[in-house]
Amino acid sequence: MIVDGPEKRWQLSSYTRLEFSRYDDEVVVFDTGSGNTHVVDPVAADLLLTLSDKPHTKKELSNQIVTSFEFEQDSSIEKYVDSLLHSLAKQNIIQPYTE
Amino acid sequence: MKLSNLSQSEIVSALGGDGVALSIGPFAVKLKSRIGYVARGLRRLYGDYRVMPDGSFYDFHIAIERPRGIRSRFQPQSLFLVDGETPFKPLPLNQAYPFFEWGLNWCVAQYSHQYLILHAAVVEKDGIAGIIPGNPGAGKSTLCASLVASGWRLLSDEMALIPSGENTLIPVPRPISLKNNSIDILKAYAPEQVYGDSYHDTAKGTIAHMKPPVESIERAGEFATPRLLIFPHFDPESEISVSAFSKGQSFLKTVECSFNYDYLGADGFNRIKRLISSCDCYNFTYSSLEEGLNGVSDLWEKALSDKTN
Repeated sequence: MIVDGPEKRWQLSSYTRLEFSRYDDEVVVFDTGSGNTHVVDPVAADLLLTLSDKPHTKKELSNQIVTSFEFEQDSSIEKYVDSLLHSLAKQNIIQPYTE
Repeated sequence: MKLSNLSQSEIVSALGGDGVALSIGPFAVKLKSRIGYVARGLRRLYGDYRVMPDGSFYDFHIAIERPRGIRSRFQPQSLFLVDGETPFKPLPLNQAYPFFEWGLNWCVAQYSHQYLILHAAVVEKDGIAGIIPGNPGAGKSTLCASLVASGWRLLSDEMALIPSGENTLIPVPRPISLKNNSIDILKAYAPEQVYGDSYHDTAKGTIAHMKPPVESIERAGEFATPRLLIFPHFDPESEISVSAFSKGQSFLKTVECSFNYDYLGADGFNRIKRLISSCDCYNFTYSSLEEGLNGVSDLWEKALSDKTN
């Protein structure tokens, strides 16, 4: 069951295991499940690394990013994370968590 | 013993009998053919390659022969066989020699998955190896041939071979394939080099090959460390331009020019990861052979300077 709303959690897609290669402001991500290779920014890479551990809500991910990158906590962060989650889901790297 | 130690008639006889086995980089290739074009091309372009003794293990058993059938009486053709199988349709008889070259490229790309294989030229000078990936129209082979004619070591004009676990490049020096205008350009730039016959009306236009330098063949067992990754763009209307290419985008472009990245999976990812980490990556646009040579040489000097400092 997918829980919607603020408690909606996200996870890596089924069979996805990620490998990373970091270069300055780019991170190359290899999805061993699909065989696809992506270039993302460090924020997206941090989000993916966090989701590799366990499912998280958008709020939890936003807080993680604020801490990791020393951003100021404001509404733009959640909007950015929201956009990022949809982009990553569209590429089938992540999916809503199903209980 | 080198192939040049055999006379033309001995080569023809061997090709028509048990075959001629050559050591080509890491590969042992056994070739049979009763087609004269093949014997002629082989003697002219593979004279400095070592003939392998009988009973050796061969990676590829290749034959270039005339197909049977009534059609062959009206339209002479040649057929490429590897281990007895025919992966391609026949080509005109007079394209038998380039058929060998193209077919051998296919064999390496299809069966040599111990390497990550990139569609790229690879050259080396004083310990600095440069990989030049080959998008169509980029001028990869022309640039490669001119660099080799200028004294660079040829590792390959067609494929970069990267083994597992090591950030090295395996040489597989072979005759450099030139197309259309580049044939005359190279012959004008380097008339002292040895060129094979020109073959017209192929799927790629007119094709000819430039023989690799003896030194490149003799040093085929000497691996090289990649230090430059240069994505070339030939545009006769543009000005020369060299710009650093981001490592992330270079990674993706390298994936695009790989024959077997998908097959290797995470292992392929890690090989390119090591490659990109060790290389300076550039986009390079040039409008003439001279600009191409000078541009690559400048990048090589910078890499050499960085290495020694």
